[in-house]
Amino acid sequence: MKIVPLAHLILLTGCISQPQIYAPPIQREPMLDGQAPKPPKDMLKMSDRETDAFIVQDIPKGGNDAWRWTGKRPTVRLFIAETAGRKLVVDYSIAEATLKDTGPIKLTFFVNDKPLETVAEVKHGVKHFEKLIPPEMLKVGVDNIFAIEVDKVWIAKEDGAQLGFILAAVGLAR
Amino acid sequence: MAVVLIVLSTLLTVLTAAALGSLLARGLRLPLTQQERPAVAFILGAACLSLIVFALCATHLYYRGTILAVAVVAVSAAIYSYRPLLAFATLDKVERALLVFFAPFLVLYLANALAPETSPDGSTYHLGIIAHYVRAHGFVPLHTTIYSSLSQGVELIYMVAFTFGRHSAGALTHLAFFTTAAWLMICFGRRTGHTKPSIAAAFFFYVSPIAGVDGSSAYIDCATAAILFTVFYLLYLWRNVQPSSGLLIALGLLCGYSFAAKYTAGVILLYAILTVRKPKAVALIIACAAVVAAPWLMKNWYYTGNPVAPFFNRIFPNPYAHVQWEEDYKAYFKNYDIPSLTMMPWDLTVKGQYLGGMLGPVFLLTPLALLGLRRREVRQFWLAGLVCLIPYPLNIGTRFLILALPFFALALTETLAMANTRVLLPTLMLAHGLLSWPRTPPGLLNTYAGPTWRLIHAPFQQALRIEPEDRYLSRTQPGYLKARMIDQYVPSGEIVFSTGTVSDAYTSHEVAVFFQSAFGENIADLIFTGQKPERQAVRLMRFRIAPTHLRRLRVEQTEVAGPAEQWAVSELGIFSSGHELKRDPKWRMTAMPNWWDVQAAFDNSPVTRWRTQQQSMPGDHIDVDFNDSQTVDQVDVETSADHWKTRIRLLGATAGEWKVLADKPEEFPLEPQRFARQMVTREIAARGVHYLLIDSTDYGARDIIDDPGYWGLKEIARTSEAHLYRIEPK
Repeated sequence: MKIVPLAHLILLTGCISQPQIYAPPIQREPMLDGQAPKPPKDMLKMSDRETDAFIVQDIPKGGNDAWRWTGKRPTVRLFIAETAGRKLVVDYSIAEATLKDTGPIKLTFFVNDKPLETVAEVKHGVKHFEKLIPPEMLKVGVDNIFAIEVDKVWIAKEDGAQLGFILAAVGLAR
Repeated sequence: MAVVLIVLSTLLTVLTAAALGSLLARGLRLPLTQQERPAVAFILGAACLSLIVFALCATHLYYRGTILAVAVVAVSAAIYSYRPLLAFATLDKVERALLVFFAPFLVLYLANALAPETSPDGSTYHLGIIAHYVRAHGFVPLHTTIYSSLSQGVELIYMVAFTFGRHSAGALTHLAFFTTAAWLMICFGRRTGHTKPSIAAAFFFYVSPIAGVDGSSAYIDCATAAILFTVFYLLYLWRNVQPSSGLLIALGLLCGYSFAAKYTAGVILLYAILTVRKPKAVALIIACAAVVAAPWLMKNWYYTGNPVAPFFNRIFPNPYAHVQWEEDYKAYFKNYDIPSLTMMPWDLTVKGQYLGGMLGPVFLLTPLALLGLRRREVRQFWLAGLVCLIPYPLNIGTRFLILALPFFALALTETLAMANTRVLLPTLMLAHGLLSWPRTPPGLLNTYAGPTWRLIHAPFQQALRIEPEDRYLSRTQPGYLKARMIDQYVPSGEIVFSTGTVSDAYTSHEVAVFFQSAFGENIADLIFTGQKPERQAVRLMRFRIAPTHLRRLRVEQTEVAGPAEQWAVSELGIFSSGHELKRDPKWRMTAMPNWWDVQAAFDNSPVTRWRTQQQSMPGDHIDVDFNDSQTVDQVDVETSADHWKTRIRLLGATAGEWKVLADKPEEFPLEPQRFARQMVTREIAARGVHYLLIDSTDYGARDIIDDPGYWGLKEIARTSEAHLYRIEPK
């Protein structure tokens, strides 16, 4: 007899967990490619699959590792809404294996096909480039083209593949 | 002026509680001595005051005027039965000399309690939640933090003090509880004829580094210890002095108040039952306990559907706390990532490195108290202490031992006193004092303690507000700067999502810290989905079946997933003759478990998803009821790539029983969405959150900080640690 109240209590507590039902929600409109407007992207990280949409040439698409090998002139496009105080920022590495074969290399950073700066790389390792872009080099309201050209590429003996350097991120900062 | 207000607010609170308790003690004819009465009255009255404040909050009548009226009525009614607050007259010279040991620590604790509140939990949820109640003049549902579901019986006492004296008044009220606990231990010794051991035990407890830092801030552990010890005390009186029903009523109220103070402290009811045993007496205790404890269960049931929220979410499923969150929470607090459990005794007493504080090296002697088990008193201390420790394995942090500390301290000193050596206890007291004093010299705490939570100095300048509160907090508390930034830049009433903790007690906004609620976890999941393609709809599971007339359709998971592995569905599309059926308003969907989020699988957004929010098990499912007969020949389940052991099958029903339509889907990869980040911030805005606070070092923060515009965010302010963004979907 003593268990009857307990059983009632257990049955009562069991009543509270009935799943509820729902109607279809408001249908979202995904921002499919080709639909406007899109937000401008400032920083392209090689780990980000969305980076592919901004690659113009010499950076392989489809990866999501933290870095990608470039070709001779890796190039990207970035939309610029305002020109003042923008800095070109590039995180990259020079590989010991390629530097051994090519010898010291020079990287030239271009903004809309005009050189911003040339950097000589004589040692392997992780590098960071950051430089203020003169506003007159940038165009407002359109995609701007940013490139890094390496003067000597490493060429694979087996298949002739050309490797420039290892790119982790390229973009604009303030 | 601020200091005077803090002290007066605390006095008002303590006196009101003591007055209520005094009236009750008189009414119940409790057999208390002159020394015991004020202390027991304060604790007993705190239970009453807590209940009154609860009633005022539940009815949204909590105003300065109403609480002042309660105070005036209570104090006036009790004033005729005034007794001296503390009476030392009956202590002998040695006992008074021993009390001098306490003085420096009382000063240390006063300085820390009076200084601006900076403790991790005090400056966040203990005071943060009651600050919301004060502004709203009563309870409000705070679904952005699971801490609002914990019982707040002690915090409601702080609330009275906070209403007039702000944060430090809350901490000072806790110090009043803490000091009362130590005084009651001494009173107990006087009553049992063992005053000197009890003074030593009170000192061991009061000076313990973990109790000191906890008891001088707006935590609740020392207050809860005071309540538990009062239960023990009244049980002693019931057993040895007067087995009256008045004592049983007081005991019941305090057992209920223990639960109201801290869920796990409710275990003291077990000790009371073990001690009292007689069925009628037990029934009276339980009934009185229910009066104080049940309101908290009802509050939770009303606001969350789970009377014991935020725990037992599997038994009481609700949309405010995920089962997986509870599993992770419990798993962490069972071990604190301590490398080996054999390190526990040393860490708990000396280093405090892993378990968040130390009791003090003197408690390494606790096993010696086993030698005293042949004495009845010592056995009672052990039993009470062990009962209080029953919930301890659920959370092995050092401060969770505070509840049992008075009992073990008494067991130890009673045992040591059996050695009949006059100098032993004073020597140990002196050693414990020096080992627990933060400044070197004369203290030694800094020389051996690990980097852990403990008092580090006596901040007199800050306590007296010679250094203004705002300046002190701004230079020492990053969480305070974040709180002030939120108040300055975020419009009133807006919820802020944060990846890190904020000193909630110093902002008027609700802050949804990502790991503190289902709401916060869902927003964090959205943000991580924007960054990580594997969380997006990147796998398509397609069922092709012969055209079938169906009224209902179910996708069911059939395997035991890995630990913490959740089944997820980003979108569920139903097709007929190559065309997706439009989601008709007549359709009805549900899921098991976590049915609250099922709409996320039917909203046409690739960045939202329904998840089980717990390890997926066979039978988990999503159902669609068409409310009509539909011809179906294909079902597409879009899902993420962060669960692999799960397997699904398709079932259908026209009426009655479910039939399996397909055992296994075809699987295709899907390209991750571009512009997912912007879709994420749109979804967050749709959930009513328009402000994000991102700590620079938190997981996933760099992606936002490096390119906020791409997320549709605009930075509106920053501190050295965190960036505050407003969502501005284009």
